[in-house]
Amino acid sequence: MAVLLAGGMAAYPIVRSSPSLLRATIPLAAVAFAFVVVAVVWRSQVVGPALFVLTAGYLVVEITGHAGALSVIAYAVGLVMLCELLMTYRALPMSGVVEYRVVAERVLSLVALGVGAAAVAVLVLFAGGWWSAGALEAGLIGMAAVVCLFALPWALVRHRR
Amino acid sequence: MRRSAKVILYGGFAAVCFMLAVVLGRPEIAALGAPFALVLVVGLSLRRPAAVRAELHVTRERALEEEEVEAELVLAPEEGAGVVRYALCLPDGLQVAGGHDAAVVRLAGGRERTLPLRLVCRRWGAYRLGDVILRTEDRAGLRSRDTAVRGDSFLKVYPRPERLHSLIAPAETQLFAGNRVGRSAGEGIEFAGLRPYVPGDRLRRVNWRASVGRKTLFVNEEHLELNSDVVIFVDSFAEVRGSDDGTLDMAIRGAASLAEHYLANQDRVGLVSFGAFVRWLSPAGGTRRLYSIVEALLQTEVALSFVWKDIDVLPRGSLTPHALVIALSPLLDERGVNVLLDLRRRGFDLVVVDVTPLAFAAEGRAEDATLALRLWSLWREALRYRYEQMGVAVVEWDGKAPLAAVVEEVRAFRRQAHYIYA
Repeated sequence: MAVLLAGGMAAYPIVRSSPSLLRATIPLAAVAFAFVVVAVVWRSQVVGPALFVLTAGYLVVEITGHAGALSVIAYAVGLVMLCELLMTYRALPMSGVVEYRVVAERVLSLVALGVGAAAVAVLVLFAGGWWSAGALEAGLIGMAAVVCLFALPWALVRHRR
Repeated sequence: MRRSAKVILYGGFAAVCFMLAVVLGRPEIAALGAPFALVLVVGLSLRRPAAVRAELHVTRERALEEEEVEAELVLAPEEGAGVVRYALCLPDGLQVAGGHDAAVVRLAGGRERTLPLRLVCRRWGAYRLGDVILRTEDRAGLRSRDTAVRGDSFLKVYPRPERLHSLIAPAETQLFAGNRVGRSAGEGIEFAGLRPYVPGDRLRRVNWRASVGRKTLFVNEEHLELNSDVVIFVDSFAEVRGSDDGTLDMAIRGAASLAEHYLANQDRVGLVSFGAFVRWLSPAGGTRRLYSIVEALLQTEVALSFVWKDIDVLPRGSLTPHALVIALSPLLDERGVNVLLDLRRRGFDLVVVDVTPLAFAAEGRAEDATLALRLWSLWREALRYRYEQMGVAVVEWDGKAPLAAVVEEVRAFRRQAHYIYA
């Protein structure tokens, strides 16, 4: 499933790119797909390189042209789902079994993650497209950005306490 | 508790996307990184992975080789644990026949869970069971807690006994009553001869038919029913192992089988385990002695030692006079070989079962390897001939033939030797 998803995501920039960009997008797509295959077959820790190369391929196409909102949301959801699938697969025991209930729970959490990721991507795109000249609105948005900026490091270090 | 690689990857990716979005002024790039930041924020806000205890309960403490033993693995969360990944570390001689030694399970509602297991005992030995490695993760898989549980269940796997139809009869008997026909005359079952009546003889022993012909009273004499002492000598200086069996395994199985059958025959059995560690049990009879011999055999292992040892390290009581010594040896170590020669020189009735390592030696493809193997087997034949010249029955046992065949071969040799040396 992860390989299929990765194949689709790697092929998408090639389909969308202009002929002049194919020389860049095809190698990037091939490398990204190879990383995913390696991650699946050898359970190696190459999920990071695959993620960055896939994103690079997408950005090359979308920055030069107009990125549709739906395309960005779908790609953002696809990226996070692909990473979760690869990470979950890597965490599975080499020998042994996984209970049906555990699998079902994982699938449900992946679905929830997909919905949440889409919602966040929509929110970011909406916020990015909203322009306001008012000082009050700008201050409120700035405060929200600062809160978000501190929320991530706080969540990262919270478990150490 | 430790962080998953996901934390660094997702955090790094989100940060790079946000920075690129600011630098290039493209909110689409921030939208790509935002879901990863969401996973981090939500995941790290969730409850930490809980600790889990694990215990392995075995239904029996003793089993025979190839037998199956029921067991239960109990996983008990200390807090409300969710998904638990466990791997049960079993000793080499045990395998899981039913159930799973590694699995990912869910502990619903923070309650303990019992997982049934069926273990099959592949090799004899005294095992400590219950070592389990556990991993619990939070729901997002960002933090994990690894726990290593050291088990405290014990299982003793006794060697598989071989069926023997007959036993090697010792040349000499002892003074205690048993099932062997002694040389001296007395009261028994086997007829030995006639002798004139002397006052004190019981009338029921008078042979009336012989007495009538000779005009005087004659009484029957029988052979005494006595027992004998058997000392089982296990050479544990060195061994050759295959993938799942070895010369020491065969020797232990043979020793346990011989001890069981001799003790069932009312003989007294002792044990000498001669190797890097020397263990001995003086000859004695009964079921308790059988258990003590098997327990001692379970502790036998091959350990590297350069200390020169000879028969003098054994206490006097371990080798009783007129005892039959049955040695199970791969004849690999010079110390073991010399001790057996020394025993024979001291007049012990000795039988050597050569637990041959050739059965485990792979034949090489190269010409040199084939030649070396042939030379080695020739050297072993010469060594066996040396024992035979001293009147010792030496029989090769490759483990494929039953021990009963080895015993019969020894009995045949000793019958022949009786005629030669009589």
